[in-house]
Amino acid sequence: MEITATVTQANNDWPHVIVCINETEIYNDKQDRIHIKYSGSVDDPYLNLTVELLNKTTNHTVVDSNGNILENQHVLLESIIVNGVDLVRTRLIHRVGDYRMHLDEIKKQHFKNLGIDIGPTTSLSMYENGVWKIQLQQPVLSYLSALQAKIEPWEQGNWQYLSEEIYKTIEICKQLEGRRL
Amino acid sequence: MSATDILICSLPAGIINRPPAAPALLKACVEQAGFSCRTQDLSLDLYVNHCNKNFELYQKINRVFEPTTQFNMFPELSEWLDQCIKTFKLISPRFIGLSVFSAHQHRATVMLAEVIRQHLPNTKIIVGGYGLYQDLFAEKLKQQNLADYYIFDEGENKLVNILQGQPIDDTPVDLQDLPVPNFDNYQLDNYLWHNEPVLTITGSKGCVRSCTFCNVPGKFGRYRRRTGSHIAQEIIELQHRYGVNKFEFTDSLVNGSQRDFIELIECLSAHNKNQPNPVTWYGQYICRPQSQVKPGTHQLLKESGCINLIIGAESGSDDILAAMNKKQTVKDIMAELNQFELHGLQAQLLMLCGFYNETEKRFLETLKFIAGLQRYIAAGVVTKICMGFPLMIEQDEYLHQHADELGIVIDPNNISNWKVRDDPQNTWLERLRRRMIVQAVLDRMNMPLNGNSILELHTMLDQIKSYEQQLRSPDTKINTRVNNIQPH
Repeated sequence: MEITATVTQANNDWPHVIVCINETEIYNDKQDRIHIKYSGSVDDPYLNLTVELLNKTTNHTVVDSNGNILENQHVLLESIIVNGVDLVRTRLIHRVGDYRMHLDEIKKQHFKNLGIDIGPTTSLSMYENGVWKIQLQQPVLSYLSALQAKIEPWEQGNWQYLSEEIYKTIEICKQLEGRRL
Repeated sequence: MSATDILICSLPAGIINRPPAAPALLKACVEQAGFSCRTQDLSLDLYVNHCNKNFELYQKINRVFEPTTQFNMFPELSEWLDQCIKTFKLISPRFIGLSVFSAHQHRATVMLAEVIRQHLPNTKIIVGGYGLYQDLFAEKLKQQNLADYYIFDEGENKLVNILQGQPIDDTPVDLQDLPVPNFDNYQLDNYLWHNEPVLTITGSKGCVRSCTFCNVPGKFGRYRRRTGSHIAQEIIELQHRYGVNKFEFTDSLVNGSQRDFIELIECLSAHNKNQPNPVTWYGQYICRPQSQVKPGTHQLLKESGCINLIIGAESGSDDILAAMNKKQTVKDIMAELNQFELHGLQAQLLMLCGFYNETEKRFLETLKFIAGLQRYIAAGVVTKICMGFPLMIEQDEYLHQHADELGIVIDPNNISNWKVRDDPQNTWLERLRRRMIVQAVLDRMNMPLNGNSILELHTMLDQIKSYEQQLRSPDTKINTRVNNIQPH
């Protein structure tokens, strides 16, 4: 797995990010860029990946006297590559996870007043404390393939029984051929 | 005096996800020569008027037309036939053209020709299409006097010759001279579209390759093409005329001439830049070593609106690819897919299982290749893998013509039942078994089948059941094209 994210700082403080795979921490740091390479197998039936932005405070959003934002701590997920498939580039990320902001009541009300969706969202930009949670069924590639499958109206139907029936009949024919020989 | 010179019908079993290409082009050619013409898609009529757009019912009835199935006169089919007669009488054309695209139209051709003879004795019947070659179908029609004119190859000029009462000119047409196809008579709203309507484009005929298993070079002769800008102009005109933005190329390959192909995608890219509704398209494409591909081609492909390309990958074994004369290696296919992934392009892969030099080892190489495609499927680069039937060897193919020197023993009665002199393991039954193993792998990979593949599985089941029946009672004779597999 490979995760890349760009980050912006505010007040000379880089965002604090924790990344976990099935609750095992693989990254916990404040850096000017996030690039994590992780290899290992996950035995669970699901692979759960979380990217959490935490400890962002009002000090991490700097505004001028007119209220214009000058600096704002944030994390932008650029790519999350699992078994060779980039969930961001393929846009599969929007189907396998979401971003839930951790907002206090004041902020919730403030966002509501401004008509801003408080989530969960599938925005790749994390401006608020919160967690991007991604859940992938194992085996991952097979699961993602099922999500990608495009079935046209004329391609619907259960065909598995056909191949099973053919295979069974082949075995019968092989036996019958053997008897004839 | 009849008001309509010719009615051109496309027949079941046909696809109903887009209007058929040939009648639209023939209509344009005939009208350009000053004759009146109507086109009628009788498959669509069956689906809309007699199956009430119930696709499941349509599929069930449509299978009656398949050459390998038991004939069953459903009531809907009987109504459809009556309606066909009424329509023919109403239009009362001087000529009726029946488009026999493949063996799948043989039954419908016979049914319709019989009723035309009976109800419109003064109307001349013209049959045309590559399906006439299959199973000596034209000979059978001649024996029963079911047609007056036969057009074996392309009909663009020949149909006009017949209407003019002139001798048929066999000179191949210059594709650059052909008019823009006319889709006016098709009920475009009634097709079973996926998202939006699609119209067909023919940019070339024939192929620049000579794969040993393929009969395209024999069917279409020398490779002929239109210039890229000529094709682009036609696409743009059809977009304006019908408000359709999506196009399917009927060509055996869109990139036979790299120069014309680049010109085409440059024109479409330029067109798309200024369009609120950009053109999209798909077609068949050959894989070349990346060293032969002009830099920037894949980016242009994307910008030209290419949404999917069908590539004959065929095998995961370089030895088999060499015996196929594919002029591509497994490495070339993977390099192509990597370029597709980089530029957000999609591909469907055609595979051919059970080649004459397929050993167990080479079969396993193919299985490994298919398993290796899982990442590309998950990434949305490979959207379908079509396995088709195990190799069938037809008369007009290189393998048939060179069977002796290649050690292939042809069964004159059956195109599937060939054997290999030095490899007794390579039998039809074993080839079918390997095909089913691949199917099991594809199922595990969550790779959906396309509509054709589902029909093919039905046919394979019919074949193997018939063979089982033969083995149990050897006296049973089954006289269908692919069902007469003889015990080994």
